[in-house]
Amino acid sequence: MAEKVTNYQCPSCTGPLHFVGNSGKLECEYCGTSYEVAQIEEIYKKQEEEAIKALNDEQEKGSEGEWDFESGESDWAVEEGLVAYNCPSCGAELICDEHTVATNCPYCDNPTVVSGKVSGILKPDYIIPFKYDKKAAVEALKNHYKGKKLLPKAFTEDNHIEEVKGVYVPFWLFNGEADAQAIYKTTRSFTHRQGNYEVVTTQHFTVKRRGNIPFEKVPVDASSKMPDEYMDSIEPYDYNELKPFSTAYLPGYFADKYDVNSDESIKRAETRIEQTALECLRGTVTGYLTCVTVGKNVNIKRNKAEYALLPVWVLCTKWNGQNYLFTMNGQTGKLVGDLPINWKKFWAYFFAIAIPLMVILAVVMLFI
Amino acid sequence: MRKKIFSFIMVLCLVLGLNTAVFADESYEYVYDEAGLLTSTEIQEINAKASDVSDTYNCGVYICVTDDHTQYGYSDIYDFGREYYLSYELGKGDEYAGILLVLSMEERDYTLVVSGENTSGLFDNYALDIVCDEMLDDFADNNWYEGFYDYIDACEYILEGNAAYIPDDYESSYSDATDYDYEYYESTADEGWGIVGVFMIIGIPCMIALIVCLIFKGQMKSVYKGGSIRTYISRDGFKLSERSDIFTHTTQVRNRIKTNNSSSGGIRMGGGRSGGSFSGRSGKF
Repeated sequence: MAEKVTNYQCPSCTGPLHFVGNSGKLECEYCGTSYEVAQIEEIYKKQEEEAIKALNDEQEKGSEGEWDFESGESDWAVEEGLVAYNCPSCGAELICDEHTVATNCPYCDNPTVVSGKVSGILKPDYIIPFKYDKKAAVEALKNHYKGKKLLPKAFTEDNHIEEVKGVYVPFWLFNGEADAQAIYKTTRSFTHRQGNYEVVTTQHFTVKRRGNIPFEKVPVDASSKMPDEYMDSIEPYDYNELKPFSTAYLPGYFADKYDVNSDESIKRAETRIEQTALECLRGTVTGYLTCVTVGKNVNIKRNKAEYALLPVWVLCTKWNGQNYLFTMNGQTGKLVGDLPINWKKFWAYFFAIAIPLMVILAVVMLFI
Repeated sequence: MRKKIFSFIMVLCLVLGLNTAVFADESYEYVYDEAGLLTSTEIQEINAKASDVSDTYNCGVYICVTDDHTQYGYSDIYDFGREYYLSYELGKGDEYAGILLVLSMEERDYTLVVSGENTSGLFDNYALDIVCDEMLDDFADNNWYEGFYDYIDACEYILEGNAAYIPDDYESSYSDATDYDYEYYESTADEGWGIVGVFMIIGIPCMIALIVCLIFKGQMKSVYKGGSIRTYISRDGFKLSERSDIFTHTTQVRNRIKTNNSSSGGIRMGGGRSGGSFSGRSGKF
């Protein structure tokens, strides 16, 4: 029976393959042989097609031939939101979220891709491959902690930094045009002296601006698991490195398909488009002392929405009962993540600065 | 390490600069006009005349105009005048000889404070009447420049010795004014830092420390909701289709310039002499 998932194994030694950002190739972890993406695509093309067919066949089957679980001996893996696959390498059962696209077998560690989740209408248009590897991500995390005077010392020690995972996060990329217009009230002021009086002359203006701003590939993350502000904070991605999607980029990393559709995501994109369009107009109003917006209107023409997988290194850690999430742009290396504050250190620094200054000031004032 | 030391020194200089701007001893002139009655030119002229008379007769002739003497904690304008005289160490010679005219505009009070035994002998009630005769009618008509000029002229007249002989039929026409006999006065002004000083010593370092600590705290946060997306504006770019700047009208505001020759922006009592002997008069103008 055809498996629903594809294991990416080295054609030479059947070791697990993973995509390496630096070289842009897939490399075997055991024998070190590297392969071009196109090579692996060709080798695994037939397996992927069979995997997609197997998955689609099962989905079309419906209730016919389903196991009867009402006896109480239900397969726990068939709970809502989870699905079960068999690893083609070792036969172990893989329990995944229904949106999982790529993962590693927990037993043989072989990279596994659920090809059916990224085929047909679910197939992403683009992918940006990982450029920074795990070592770089760990290094970036360590640098993120450096120089943070209020960071509790124990936090860096209990961090499990090596558990950072590379994840391809699904994004919607929106294209559109904003027709924005705004009206402002502005002033300019001049001062001159007339005898015993200072005269302030203010000129008032009504300023109108209208413009057309085309936007390309405005990203909005399509995964409910990824907090939006984290994904916004690691922007921007360099779209010059956007490639047509291929599953061959996925081995060695985790990936999910979208669970937030484009209609739900577009509102976020439009909010940002509107805000930026008004900023662009405001930037053209120069040479005034004050500027107040009295009217604004933005119409957005929606063009194509594209679906892409973008690389993110993710570390979720718990400290003092609170969760802390760190995310790093897998292409540019930009890392974000709020750190805990040691309030004892905060007040210690406060008094360490304030008290000596008070003493110095008092001494100086004695002699003035 | 060097960067840290340099930053600390810069902060210290800033703090000291702020303080010295507030607490520096200004070089005293003969005229202090808090209420802005005189223009800069008028102040210069009055000051020059007062300086001339003071140097000629070795007796200071001073003028102080305040918006309201009670805001400095003195209900009696004569007390205010004496403290002012002591705080700014007015007067010439060992006796700190001089005469100070204080006008308090809120209730139109005036006082003449005379310091020094010899000066008090010269500026007796009869002499003070002469001074008041010259200046008070100008002040009543709000002719400030003329009033101050006449005041200095009258003081010069007295210092020349022209009021040495009191007529037999002399009767003071200023019965509603209060005359003060010559006596020693001990300063009551607080020579300490006061509330403002304490605030400066505690408040400024706390503010600086708080700013630094808030900067450290700000470094701990790096996640922000999505902002500008200018990077996603396509290569064709942003094109303005309408641009109009229309002038609508002009407004004007006129503010009277307050001429104040004090760099500290207010009268600071205390820190001068601890006591002195004074006589004088106070009343309404």
